[in-house]
Amino acid sequence: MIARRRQSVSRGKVSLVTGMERAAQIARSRLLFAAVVFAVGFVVMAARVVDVAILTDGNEPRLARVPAAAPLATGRADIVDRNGVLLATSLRAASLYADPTEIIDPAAAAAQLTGVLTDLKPAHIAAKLVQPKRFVWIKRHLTPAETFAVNRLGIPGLHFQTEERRVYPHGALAAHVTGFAGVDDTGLAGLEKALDSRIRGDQTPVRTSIDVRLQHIVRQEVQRQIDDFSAVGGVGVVMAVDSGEVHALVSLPDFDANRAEVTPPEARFNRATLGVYEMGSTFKIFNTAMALESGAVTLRDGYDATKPIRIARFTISDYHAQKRWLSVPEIFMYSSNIGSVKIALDVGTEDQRAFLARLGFLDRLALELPETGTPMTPRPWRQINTMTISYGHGLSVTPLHLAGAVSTVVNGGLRHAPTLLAQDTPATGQRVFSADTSKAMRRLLRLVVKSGTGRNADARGFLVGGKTGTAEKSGVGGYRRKALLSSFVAAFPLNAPKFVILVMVDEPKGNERSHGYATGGWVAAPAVKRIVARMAPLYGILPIDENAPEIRRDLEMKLPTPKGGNRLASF
Amino acid sequence: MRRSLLLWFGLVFGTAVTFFLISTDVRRQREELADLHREIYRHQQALHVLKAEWSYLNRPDRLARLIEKHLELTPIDAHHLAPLAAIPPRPRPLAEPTVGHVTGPATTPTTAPTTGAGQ
Repeated sequence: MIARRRQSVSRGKVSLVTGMERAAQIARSRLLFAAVVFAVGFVVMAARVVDVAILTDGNEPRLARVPAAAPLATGRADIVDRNGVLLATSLRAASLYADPTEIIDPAAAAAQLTGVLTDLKPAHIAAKLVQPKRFVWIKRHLTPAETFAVNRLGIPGLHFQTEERRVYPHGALAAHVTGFAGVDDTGLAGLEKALDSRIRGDQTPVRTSIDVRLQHIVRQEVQRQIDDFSAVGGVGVVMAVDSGEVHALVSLPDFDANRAEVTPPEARFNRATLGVYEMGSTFKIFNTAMALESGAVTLRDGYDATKPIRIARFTISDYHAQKRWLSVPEIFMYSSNIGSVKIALDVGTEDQRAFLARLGFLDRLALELPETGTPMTPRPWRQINTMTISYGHGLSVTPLHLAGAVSTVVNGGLRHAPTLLAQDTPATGQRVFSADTSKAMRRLLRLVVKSGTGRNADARGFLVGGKTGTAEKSGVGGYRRKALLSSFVAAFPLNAPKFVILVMVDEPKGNERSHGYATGGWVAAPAVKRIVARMAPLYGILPIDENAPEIRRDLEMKLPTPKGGNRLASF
Repeated sequence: MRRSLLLWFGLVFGTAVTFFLISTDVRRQREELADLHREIYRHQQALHVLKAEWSYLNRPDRLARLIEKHLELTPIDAHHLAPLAAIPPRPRPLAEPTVGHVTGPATTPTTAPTTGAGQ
């Protein structure tokens, strides 16, 4: 510019007019240039505006999208029963803590606090409030009323923190199944412990196979037997035979899951899955089934049961002694130990062991609980063990082992592992017994209830079949004659079994109504009968005519008579 | 020239006002949305508590106690149940004499009493 001006100035001396004209021309052309540049710019922008606003469509949705409301997230997923009834959930609760450095008068504060939180001790709280810390818990999980009361005191230095608290609305009802979580939200027992990582990781509820209604029925009936016979405990299990789903699992005494940490350990002991017991005569179901399956005996065979068996220092005799030749069905019906031992000897030790292994009796119970028992098996497995196991002594298993194996026997011979989680897909089982053996066993089980030791379980119209078991509990230095474990295991309806029910009562004492008896047929069978009658309407199982020809053909059997002999007078 | 300038100014002003109104409206709606989200969360929490309470109030032993106290219901047992097929067919209605056509007792159906057998 400076150079140009000098130029124009030097030229200006020559012609001033020409100089001004030139300058105006230059200015005009610059203006024009700038106008063109801007015009092009505006046209481009306008084109872009039209493009964005009208032509381009895909980039901008017509409706603005905003993130949906955050779903309610809890630290632990809910646990529900098979019908969706809430068994365990996490609720928010305020926890009270103090900053001792802010507390002006610890003694007065402690006195005021324990005035509203009456379960705390003043001396204990006062000691906490003088600690040289900046954080001490006073009480976890206050109720809303307690929170309000503490707030009203207006003590400086007290603060609340919202925490989650595990709540079990049904209290004790399913406590042995759900287990419980501790104050810091970690599972400490039951499903809460076994599925801890699943429950923490996934918000969808855990659907168990338990049915709260049935659980209640079973618990009530088992409790009633415990009360009637002054027993120390009891077990009730209901299992679906075709899926292995456990619909009810009761172990008494039980505990309120909301206050689990202050209940005695005896109440927290799960007899149904952790306790191992010699189950007694209910084992004759498997003894007979394996004999029929292996072909060692048929239903027409029989054995002489007149004399007790003496082996080593033991004497094996019959409780309901018939003292005569007994057919295989009669051995089962009268629960003859002598006959069972003879059957077992015909089956042989190896076969017995193999069958028991296939029924799951030799392995630790496989169930979604941390509290599972490992059977106590004889080592080595001698002939004497084979003999005692035939009637349920010398092999200790959990009650759930037993229920699972009975399911296998009655459902056509397929073994399904017991489970506490609701199954959506039909289960495929492993074959242990043939369909024929299963059918024969159903006839035998029906026989026991119709005319054998299990008559007290005969819920009319529901075709109950089962087997009693009365075992003497082993104690220090042998068996205790007065400490019994009385059980009844049943299946119904036997024409097409749906459920297996096991009731076991621990150390019942005979009463007047049972004529002093405390055996499985008197103690456990009546509970099974009532459970069947109460649960059938819930599951839409209708009573049927037991005398219908097709039912009689399927489930009745004629008792064979001894070969060549006549029925003895002792009958 | 002046008129068109006025028109342009008017347009600019109008657009500015419209944009301003839209943006305040958007802000207001955003706040409303946030409020709604908070409310949904609160309701979810309340629902959660109510669900727990519902389950608590539906404890089977409590229901049984209440029914015993307030209702005259007994538990269903086998005798209360029957399949649909077991219900007898609806009895045929008795033929009634048509009104205004009285011809005497002969039209009423004579049903033989079956009470004699048992006595």
